Amino acid sequence: MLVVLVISDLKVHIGPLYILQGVSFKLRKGETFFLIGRNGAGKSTLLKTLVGFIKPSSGSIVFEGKDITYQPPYVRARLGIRYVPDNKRLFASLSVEDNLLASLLAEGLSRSKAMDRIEYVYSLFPDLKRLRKLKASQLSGGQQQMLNLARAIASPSLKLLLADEPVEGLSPIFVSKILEAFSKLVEEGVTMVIVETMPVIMKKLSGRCAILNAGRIVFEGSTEDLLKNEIIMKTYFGLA
Amino acid sequence: MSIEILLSAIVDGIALGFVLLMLSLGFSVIFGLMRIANFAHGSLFTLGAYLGFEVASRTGNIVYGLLAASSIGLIGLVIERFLLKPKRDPMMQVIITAGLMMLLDRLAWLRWGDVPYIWIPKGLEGVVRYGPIIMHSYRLFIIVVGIFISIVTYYLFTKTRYGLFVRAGIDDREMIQVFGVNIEKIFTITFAIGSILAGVAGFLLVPWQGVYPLIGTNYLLYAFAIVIIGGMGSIEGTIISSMLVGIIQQLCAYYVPYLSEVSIGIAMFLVLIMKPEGLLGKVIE
Ligand SMILES: Nc1ncnc2c1ncn2[C@@H]1O[C@H](COP(=O)(O)OP(=O)(O)O)[C@@H](O)[C@H]1O
Ligand SMILES: [Mg+2]
Repeated sequence: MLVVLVISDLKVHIGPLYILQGVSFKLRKGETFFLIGRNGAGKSTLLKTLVGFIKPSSGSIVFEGKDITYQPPYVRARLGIRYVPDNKRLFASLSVEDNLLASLLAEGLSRSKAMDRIEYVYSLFPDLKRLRKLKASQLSGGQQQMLNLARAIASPSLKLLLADEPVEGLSPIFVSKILEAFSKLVEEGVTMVIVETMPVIMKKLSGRCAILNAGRIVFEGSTEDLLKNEIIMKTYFGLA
Repeated sequence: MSIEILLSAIVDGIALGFVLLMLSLGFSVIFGLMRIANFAHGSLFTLGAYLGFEVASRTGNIVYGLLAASSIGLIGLVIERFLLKPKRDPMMQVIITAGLMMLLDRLAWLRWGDVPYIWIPKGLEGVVRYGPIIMHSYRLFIIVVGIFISIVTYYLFTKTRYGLFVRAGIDDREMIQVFGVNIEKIFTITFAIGSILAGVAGFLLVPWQGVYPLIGTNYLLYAFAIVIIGGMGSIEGTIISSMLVGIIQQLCAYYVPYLSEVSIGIAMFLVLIMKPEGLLGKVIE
């Protein structure tokens, strides 16, 4: 299958800290890739480097054959890369609908095309339709997380989704809604990198996974291998 | 204290409020989006006033004056593109904009001197009486133009694609980029629009208060107070607090002139104590 993302020996420094110490992996089209690791391992930093918020000190990121290592975030977005940040970062003063509209117009869609996509998103998350006039800041935590994900997957040109702890801290009802959306993305052939701290999505969608430890990948394998490995489950999820 | 004088003071306050709104809106949006306290913003107001004055007094046509004042947008564009864009560092931007403020105000002084210039368009010199209330025609004209410009600007920021990106960017200027917005382009456009509004505001005040080299920088202090009262980067907050400050200032000018500047300071401190993020503001990290 087609390789869409190639990350080679990525190193990131933040001030005096050496955060990513040479990360490499490849993703094939439609693959789901889970990133796990303890707090502070560098998972969020890796995603931020992939979206373009952080410039690496060396290494490269090649997406669909294009070297995007030093491209600004908007150029990456226009190639079909979308990001679901861990701390939501919604446009707090805008309504739910304007959050979706801003995200869609941003990639250059016409208003009518954007409205079509918003209707599609409402069909995935009917709650958002009901809440569409509310400001994002007025939503509950679970609703905000739905919008956070919805905003990224609304894009008709979505190819690579980078999601940072998308179900963290959510009640079971919201978790199942978000899991459903992820299953749909798998069916559509979207390539995904998902950061997880509990093996929730991993149990539902199979794929590959990597363990990041102190800025290096220390394990790579299938989710089945990982879920069977008691030592890893105990060490990284506190589960046996 | 007659009701007629009170009403005249309020009309004048609203007229001043519109001038302050045009000055403060750009200042507030530039701060909210780009995190730049543009110290040169008042100097652009002054330059707009002088340019508009030169053209309007020669041609006798206020429309040409307004167009000349709008050309300040080009100066804003050049400042943003060539001075601010190359190094987006908060400390550098303070130094650059504060330096520009001193430079531009000084250049205006060299060219036009201390003497205030005033020019009043034909037909708007007198007063209008409505029953017992006396209103200056020109100040009513400011209100009419102010309403028009405010509606256009409000539409721009609330209904257009560009405005949506600006408001989203004020909330989180990093996140709007990951959906495909080239924020650098939005920064430059916003700085230019803010400069146009400042230049036009400066010219609109010429027939009322004249123009002198420090007028814009003096009024910039009001703009600071307005964005603190209204909330940094809040468009609705800026509208409300501009009117509030305009009216308070004019009421004081009519009744207790020695308090007119202090009163704005007091209003600002009251807001800072009771609601530090401003009337409609949000906490900016
Ligand atoms: N902006 C920053 N400034 C300083 N240190 C940072 C910054 N961002 C992350 N770090 C540090 O980098 C390391 C990795 O952080 P992060 O990528 O958030 O880890 P994870 O998401 O795996 O928990 C941590 O030690 C964290 O303290
Ligand atoms: Mg993290």
